[in-house]
Amino acid sequence: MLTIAGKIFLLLLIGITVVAFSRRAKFLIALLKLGKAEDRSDQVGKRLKFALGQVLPQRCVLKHVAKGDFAGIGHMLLFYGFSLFVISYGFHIAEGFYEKLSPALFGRTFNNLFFLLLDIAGTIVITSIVWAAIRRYVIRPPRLKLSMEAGIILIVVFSLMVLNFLMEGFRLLSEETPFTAWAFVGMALANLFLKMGLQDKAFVLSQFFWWAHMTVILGFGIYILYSKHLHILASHFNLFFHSTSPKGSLQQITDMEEAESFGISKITEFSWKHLLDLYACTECGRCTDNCPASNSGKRLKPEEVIQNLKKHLFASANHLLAEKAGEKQEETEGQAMIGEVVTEEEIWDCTNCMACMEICPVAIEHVNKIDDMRRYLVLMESKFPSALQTAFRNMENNSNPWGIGAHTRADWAKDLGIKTLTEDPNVEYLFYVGCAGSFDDRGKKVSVAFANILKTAGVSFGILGSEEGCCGDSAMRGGNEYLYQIIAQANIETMNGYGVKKIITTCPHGYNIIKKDYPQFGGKYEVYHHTEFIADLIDQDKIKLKKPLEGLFTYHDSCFLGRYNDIYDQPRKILQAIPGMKLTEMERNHARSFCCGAGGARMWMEEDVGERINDMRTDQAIATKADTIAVGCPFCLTMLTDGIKDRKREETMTSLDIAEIVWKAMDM
Amino acid sequence: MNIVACVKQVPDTEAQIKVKPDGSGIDESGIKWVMNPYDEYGVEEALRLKEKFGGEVTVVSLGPARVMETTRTALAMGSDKGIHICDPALDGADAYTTAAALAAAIAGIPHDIIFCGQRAIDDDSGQVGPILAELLGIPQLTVVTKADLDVDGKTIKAIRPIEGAQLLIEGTLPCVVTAQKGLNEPRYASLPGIMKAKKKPVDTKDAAALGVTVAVKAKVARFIPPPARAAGKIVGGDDPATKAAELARLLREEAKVI
Amino acid sequence: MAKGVWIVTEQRDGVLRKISFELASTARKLADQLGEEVCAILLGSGIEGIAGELSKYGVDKVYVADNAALEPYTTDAHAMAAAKVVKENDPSILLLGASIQGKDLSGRLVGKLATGMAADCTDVKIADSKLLATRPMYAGKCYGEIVFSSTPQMASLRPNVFPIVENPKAGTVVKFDPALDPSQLKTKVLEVQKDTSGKVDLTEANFIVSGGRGMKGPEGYQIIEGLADVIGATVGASRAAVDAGWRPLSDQVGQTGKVVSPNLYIACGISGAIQHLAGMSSSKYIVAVNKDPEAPIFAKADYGVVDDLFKIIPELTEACKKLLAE
Repeated sequence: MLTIAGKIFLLLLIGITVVAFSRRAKFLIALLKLGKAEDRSDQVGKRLKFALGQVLPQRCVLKHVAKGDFAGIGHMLLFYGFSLFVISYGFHIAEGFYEKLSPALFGRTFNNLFFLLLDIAGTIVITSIVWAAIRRYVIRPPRLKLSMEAGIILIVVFSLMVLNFLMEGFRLLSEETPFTAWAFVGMALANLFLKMGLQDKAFVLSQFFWWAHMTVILGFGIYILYSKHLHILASHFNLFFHSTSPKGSLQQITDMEEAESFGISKITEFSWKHLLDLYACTECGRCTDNCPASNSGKRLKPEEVIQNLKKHLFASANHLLAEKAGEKQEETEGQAMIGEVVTEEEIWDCTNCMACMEICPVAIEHVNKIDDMRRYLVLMESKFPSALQTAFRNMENNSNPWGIGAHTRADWAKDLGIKTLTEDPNVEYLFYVGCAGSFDDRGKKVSVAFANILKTAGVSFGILGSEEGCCGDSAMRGGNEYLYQIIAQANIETMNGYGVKKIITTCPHGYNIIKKDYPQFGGKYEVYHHTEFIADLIDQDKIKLKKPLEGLFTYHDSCFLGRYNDIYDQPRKILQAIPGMKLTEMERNHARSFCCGAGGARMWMEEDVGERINDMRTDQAIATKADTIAVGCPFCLTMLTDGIKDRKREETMTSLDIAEIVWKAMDM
Repeated sequence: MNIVACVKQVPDTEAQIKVKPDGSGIDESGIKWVMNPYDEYGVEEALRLKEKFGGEVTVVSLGPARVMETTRTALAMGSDKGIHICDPALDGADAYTTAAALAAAIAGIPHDIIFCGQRAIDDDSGQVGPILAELLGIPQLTVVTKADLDVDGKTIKAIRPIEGAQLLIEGTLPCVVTAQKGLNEPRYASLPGIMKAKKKPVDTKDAAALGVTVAVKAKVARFIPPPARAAGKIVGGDDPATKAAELARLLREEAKVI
Repeated sequence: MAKGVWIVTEQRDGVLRKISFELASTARKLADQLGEEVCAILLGSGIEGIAGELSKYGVDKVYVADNAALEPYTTDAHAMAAAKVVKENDPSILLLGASIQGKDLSGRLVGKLATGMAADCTDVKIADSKLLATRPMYAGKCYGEIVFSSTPQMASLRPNVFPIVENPKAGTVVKFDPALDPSQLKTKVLEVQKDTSGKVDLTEANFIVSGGRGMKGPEGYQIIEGLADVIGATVGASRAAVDAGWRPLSDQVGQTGKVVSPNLYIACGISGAIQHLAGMSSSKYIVAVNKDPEAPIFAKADYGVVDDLFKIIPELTEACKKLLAE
């Protein structure tokens, strides 16, 4: 219990903290409110469950521990340890005002256990901090940058622990009946101090360290909001307000006829949730560490994008707030968000592979931000890589990015006796072939193989023939929402016209966009990727894989199949159903798979900076010594086939679509 | 500066061209209509001049109602207004008649420089630009890959590639410039541009309104499908020298390209 | 009554161009069917001496305007001169070359003569004593037969299509005054930039020789450049060759490089992935030279040679050199 003066002084300290904290909090919330409205208040229960499910068991940082991301363990230890300390600070303050409000209030056992745990936690936290410091300053993994803020936090937390132990030790030494005997570190220190002959000064010193401790912790409370450690608070909210729309879908632009601006070019055009993302970022660098663009030496580093946007938000905060308040502002030449804060190069480097969002512990939506900036560049400024213009025009004129005559779309099926929906609209499934499957010689082979499988299995299916259009994925991901909407609406009109209910695609891009984005325009179908469908056919015994296939296989997870749609098992299950199958995994597989480089409309752009992403992925496949790279995506197929040629492995290595492999194994 | 860009709507280069069974024309079903790519270079150059010198770009087009879409495309790129010459009597008009109608429309508006494509990719004739220039009594600079207007806006210098050389030519304004590939990279219309284009004024006129009498002087009497393109030939021979000689001969005598 | 088959010849630096003889030979054939004369228009400065050459190919009369203002070629001067002599003589048929110069002049003449013309014809004949011209349209996806209802019936002939046939005539030379009005000469040639490097930009090139992964290295391009020099082609490359650093990015043909549509595209050691085909499949003629008979490029090629390009290309260069020298 404190003296009156002590109480007043503590109240003063708390008062200062509360004022400083709430001023900053008010400012931060005001900044968020500069963002556009976006409803993220739906499904409160689900959101809460998700956020708690990420935070309490520390799943957010532990999800990739099995893949070697051990830093998550350190975070977990710090998190639990520090949380316990937060409770102890509550007791400290309460005790300061009224003696009885100590852990002893809950009984002796609780009191002892509490201090035992606290000492264990303190020890763990100190160990974790030492580990973190060694990692950050000695080992220095590339994803972590040397920052002053990171150093400060380590010092602060470290000193909190040390101060706590010192305070505890002196307090134990000063009390006639020590408040607990279970605080083993405190007891050890008390003994040490006793030997050092500090018993006389024990009370004063315990008081001194108590105050020092309080000052540091309250100061830290304020500091959190002023530093990157804002994430300690913001991440919880960010997890709560995470996106509940289908994974990887982009928000459609509505009101195209009337809107005056499209896409995003100013920080305030982001929704408040996207601004909250900026607060939530911890600079952990996992996104950059997993980004294929960063890894291949491109300009884009997702973490920098988020951090630079955050700095930009703070730098222009006063101006923007004053502007919102209606105060006349001098026209200041602030930084242009696109071009200066985030360069066009960074924006176009992104393959939309979602590795960043998958790994991000705090549910930051990087890809959506980048694609929204692309939309601005394309729709408002018409500024984009010129090769993309060719692809856009081709999609406009011939509904495929290569610009091959639209009337030849069904030529691949000419001699296969496949009916179009005009000929028979009563088929059960529409095989939506897609552009690669229709026009690319390599892709056509996949279409033929898959059609043969369907025929053998007796599946009732048809194609749209020359009525089929491009799915629009490359237009949408390339920022050309206008073109995408025209394409999507035309397809939906055609498909709904035939009463299509179930669709199978061989391309994950078509699969993803039809499944997740077409519903926004009234195109609601049951969509299957052909690997899902083939896996079912095998399960139902409708096809028989009888021919053993030689050699070692490895399966490449396409981003739009894996991370976007969580289809990891079916392709592997199919392969394993083949007699004699020897399947190995690349180092990066499943959710941590490495992009082939073609997503996000990158297929249609030049890649002349750094290493080629497809070659890097090919190298990863070569490292497994596999003879065949199995894929489930025509873009990946093209990119890996090129990679194999670039690496001069044509003689010993090949890449095949799952459908081709299955058709081979069916040996018809 | 008053700039005019003439645009024609043509089937996309990849479109399938089917001759009607009676040879009276081509079957237009399923054709994707686009702006003639050479005209697009013209529109782009017109817009660049406007950006540099100020003024206005008027798009002049001729053809059936569907041509409005192409006119709107040029407006979406940034042109200011349009004249659409629409008259069934002008369907299938020859180069002279087409140019006469365009000349009548353009003569009625101020014009300092007129851009046309060096040819249209449907009839491939490349005459309208020069005839137009003659009918307006102004010089022509055809098949141009670079055009520089003097700061005074009175003379223009242009690069015109010819066989094995290129010419730097100079002409006085007003004039007709026909655009060749390489002149520029046409812009991609922005979405606000597309939306605004819907509201820009387009004046639709028929032949009578322009005072043009339609008298076609050359017409396509019959459309003929091309001989089926022979499947690719693999040039045979006992040794590389024979194969090469045979290939050279085929290029010369059969393909007639060298 | 319009009478006579007329041609507008073309010369450069005092040498008649090959198209002039193709025009003369074709005109002769038509004139013989009509029983009319062949007259040629020859414009330039200091060119009177070459008029006689035309009579060797069936020209009866050569109308020559020898005037400093007619050299070098300008649309205004040549159109004025040609229109004057045509109007005075009222021919029934007027043929020009569909060369670059001919294309520039013919349209202007159509305007001056207020008549109809068939451009870039691949065949001309007489039917019912009238001209019937056949010409490719829609980039050769169909042909049109053109008939005329005004005179002169004008047609421009695609170069290198019509045979040159010797048919010597007496050939009189008629000099005429082009009556050029200097105030009407509104264009002038400031400079002729002789282009000996053959470096026409890919997108404008009529001929392209392109090399891919099969070139094996930057040195391989020497033989490609050799062939390109001989046929006046521009050198292109596939993405693989550009990525390998053998050629600059500006040489790249394909989806993400340049989209080209030359008359002749020779693909050497290029397998023909769709990204490459998207950039060149609208070429009029495609030649593929590749060791691998399974290469998809052969499916698109008009002429394919399955052989080592390092053997074929030098031989082809020699063969072309010989043919072009003829």
